[in-house]
Amino acid sequence: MRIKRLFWQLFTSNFLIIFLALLAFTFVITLTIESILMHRVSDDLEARAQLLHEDITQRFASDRLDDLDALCDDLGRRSQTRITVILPDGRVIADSEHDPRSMDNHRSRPEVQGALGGRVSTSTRFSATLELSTMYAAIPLRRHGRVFGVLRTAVPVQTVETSIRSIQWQIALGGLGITFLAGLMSLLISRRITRPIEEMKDGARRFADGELGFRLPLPRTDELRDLARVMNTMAEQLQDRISVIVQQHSQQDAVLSSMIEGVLAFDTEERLININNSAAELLNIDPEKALGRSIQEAVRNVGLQHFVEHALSTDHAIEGYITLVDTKERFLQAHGSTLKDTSDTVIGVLVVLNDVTELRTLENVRKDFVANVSHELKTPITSIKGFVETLLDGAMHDKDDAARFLSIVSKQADRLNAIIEDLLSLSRIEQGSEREEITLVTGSVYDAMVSAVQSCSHDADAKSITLHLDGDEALRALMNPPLLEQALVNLIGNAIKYSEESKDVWVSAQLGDKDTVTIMVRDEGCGIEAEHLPRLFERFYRIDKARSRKMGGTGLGLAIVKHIAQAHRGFVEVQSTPGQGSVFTIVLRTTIDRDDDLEVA
Amino acid sequence: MTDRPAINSEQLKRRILSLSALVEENARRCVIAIRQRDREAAERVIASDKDVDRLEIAIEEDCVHLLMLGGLPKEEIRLIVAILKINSDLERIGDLSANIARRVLNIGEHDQLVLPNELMILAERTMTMVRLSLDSLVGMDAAGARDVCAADSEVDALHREMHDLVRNRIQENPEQTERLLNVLAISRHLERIADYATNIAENVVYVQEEKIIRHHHRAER
Repeated sequence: MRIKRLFWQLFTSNFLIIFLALLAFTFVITLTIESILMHRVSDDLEARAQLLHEDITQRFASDRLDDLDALCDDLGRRSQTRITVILPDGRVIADSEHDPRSMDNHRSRPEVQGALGGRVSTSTRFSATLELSTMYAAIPLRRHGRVFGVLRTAVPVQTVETSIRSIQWQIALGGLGITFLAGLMSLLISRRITRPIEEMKDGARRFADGELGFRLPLPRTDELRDLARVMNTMAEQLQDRISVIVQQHSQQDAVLSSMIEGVLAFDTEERLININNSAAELLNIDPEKALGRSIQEAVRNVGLQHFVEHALSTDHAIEGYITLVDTKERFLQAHGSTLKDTSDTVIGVLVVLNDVTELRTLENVRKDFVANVSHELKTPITSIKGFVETLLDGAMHDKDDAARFLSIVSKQADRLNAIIEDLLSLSRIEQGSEREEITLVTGSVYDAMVSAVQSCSHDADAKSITLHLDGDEALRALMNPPLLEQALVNLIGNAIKYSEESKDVWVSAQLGDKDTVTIMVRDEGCGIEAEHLPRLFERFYRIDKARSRKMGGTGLGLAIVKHIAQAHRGFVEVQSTPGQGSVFTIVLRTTIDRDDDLEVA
Repeated sequence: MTDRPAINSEQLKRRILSLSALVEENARRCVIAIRQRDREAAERVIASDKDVDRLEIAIEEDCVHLLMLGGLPKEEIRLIVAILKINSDLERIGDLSANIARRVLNIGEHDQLVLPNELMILAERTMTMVRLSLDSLVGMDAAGARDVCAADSEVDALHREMHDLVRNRIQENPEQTERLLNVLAISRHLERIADYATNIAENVVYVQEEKIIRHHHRAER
């Protein structure tokens, strides 16, 4: 079916109704007028025939038929009527227009037959004689109840037809005018009905285009007014709902993008459907490019691929670890759960990633620490136990051996003691700085340096190492003098330990920027490779285990230095070039005003 | 043939991408192993190479299976053939990564040998090429693939430099010959990895542009 505009439907139907009504009206009117006119003509003809009837009957009675034809001629001319007299056998004996002798038998003419039957009859037909459409009226001529002839009058009906045509023309012309006017009116009416509908249509289209702030004008028609009202209400509600949705969506977006955890969503085909900033950053992918792609394309990580596959295949939430390998390894904790729509069908899977690299590192440090402590304590104990058993087995009876073994046992006991001392002081410093029990006073940096150097001079002399002291005696900083001294002793001790004989070690102090004092311990020893530097201050971290132990280190010296620096709310750092030596720097504060702790630059 | 369910070329593509992810991870991990002399990382690379081999065989069987189905359009056959080649290239990269990991284990964790900085540069360049060639595989990006092919000559030059460097060092410290030969071997393996990355990129161009470029740009050098 063809879709038409309402306007044209209204207009054409209105127009057609008017047109058809006019047509029918014209038809009926024309018919009526025609029949009225014809009746008048036939009545007229009949009347004329009745007028002649008497005269002609008398002529028949007196048998004066010779001049009958002439009479007819004369009367016919004067009344402008064709007059014919016909005998019962059909022979024409008189005719006003023609010579009766040349005329055919008229018995078969319908009006003649009717008249012969005794009735007055009329008939309209095309006359071959006159070559015109003609109306005939025939009356029977009677004498003593017997029909002895027929008198027929006839006029051409062309005049009637002409007048009917002219009437029809007038009606048609008038009709055309009326049709035109009616068409115009129907146009206006259709317009009036459809215009508000068109306006509402445009309004509805604006709604559909999202212009929900628009309001439809209220038309004057009751039904349309209601419709417009309902549509306005609908638009209002829609606007409210959309604004709620938009708000929720932006809230969701804000939540997702501000999350530290990486969030990814995949559909059941393992295509990426959502990803937040953290996840994109973590996995180093471009969200624009990756969205809509399969996980194999989007994320080049086998662990995550397997994880998503697994998450999709089970119904409950899963947890796992994923390793990212870039220039270094990162460890991610992953949580996966299926996404379901309102009808509880699985539509995908949500993965939340948590970077636990730091945690992992810390945990490793702790694990290493426990393992290291056990190992460090075990070594001297094993040694002590071994020598004591040897002594018990009989060696104690040999004086020389006994003395030698016991001195080893004593040395190992000292070592054990040193480790435990260090561990204890480490935990004291740690706890102290945690509980802020370590009191800091403004003291002379130089004095601390001097006493530290003095403590180490014996070891230095043993290796012919010269200790250089350089610093302003007036230099003051916040310190806990015994702790600071211990830290410096540890650093200077290390410097001596790792320097070859007859080298120099420098201990210097100077005023730093931002209310700080820096104390440096520099040596010309073997230096430390860059890869070890980040872990150097960890407990029991050793570059070369065998060498360190041989030198009598506990593996805790630098850890203690770090914790002392932190207890002073400062820090320690190291710079080193393999083969050229190392510089350890402790940074202290001169005032307590600043609340923030110093950080490694 | 195995009785695994039949797969289509879309799934085949996903599998090869999966393999590529695994291989890239191994290659990266072996560079970490070189840089940090990380035994654990090296051992993981060696262990993971078995997975690479298994996946390679599975993909090869999938390719054969798909080809046996017959009635495939020309482009599809071209893709499968390229995947077959890329598959074996990836497997070779996996093997070489494992070889490098073994060399790292040979050098030892606390050895005093300082690895030349040039080796790290070579490793970084190679990794960049591997990443770019796999990027071009993921995106079926012929232009990106051509860039990879162009970068190959740089890696070759770096390897030649490494060769000279190692020779000089051996002359200076003959007692370190054993260790330095390990360094040279790592350099050679890295250079081979770069070659296979180039092959993969060439096959991407083959699929995308229906053009075989592997013998053209070699002649230009």
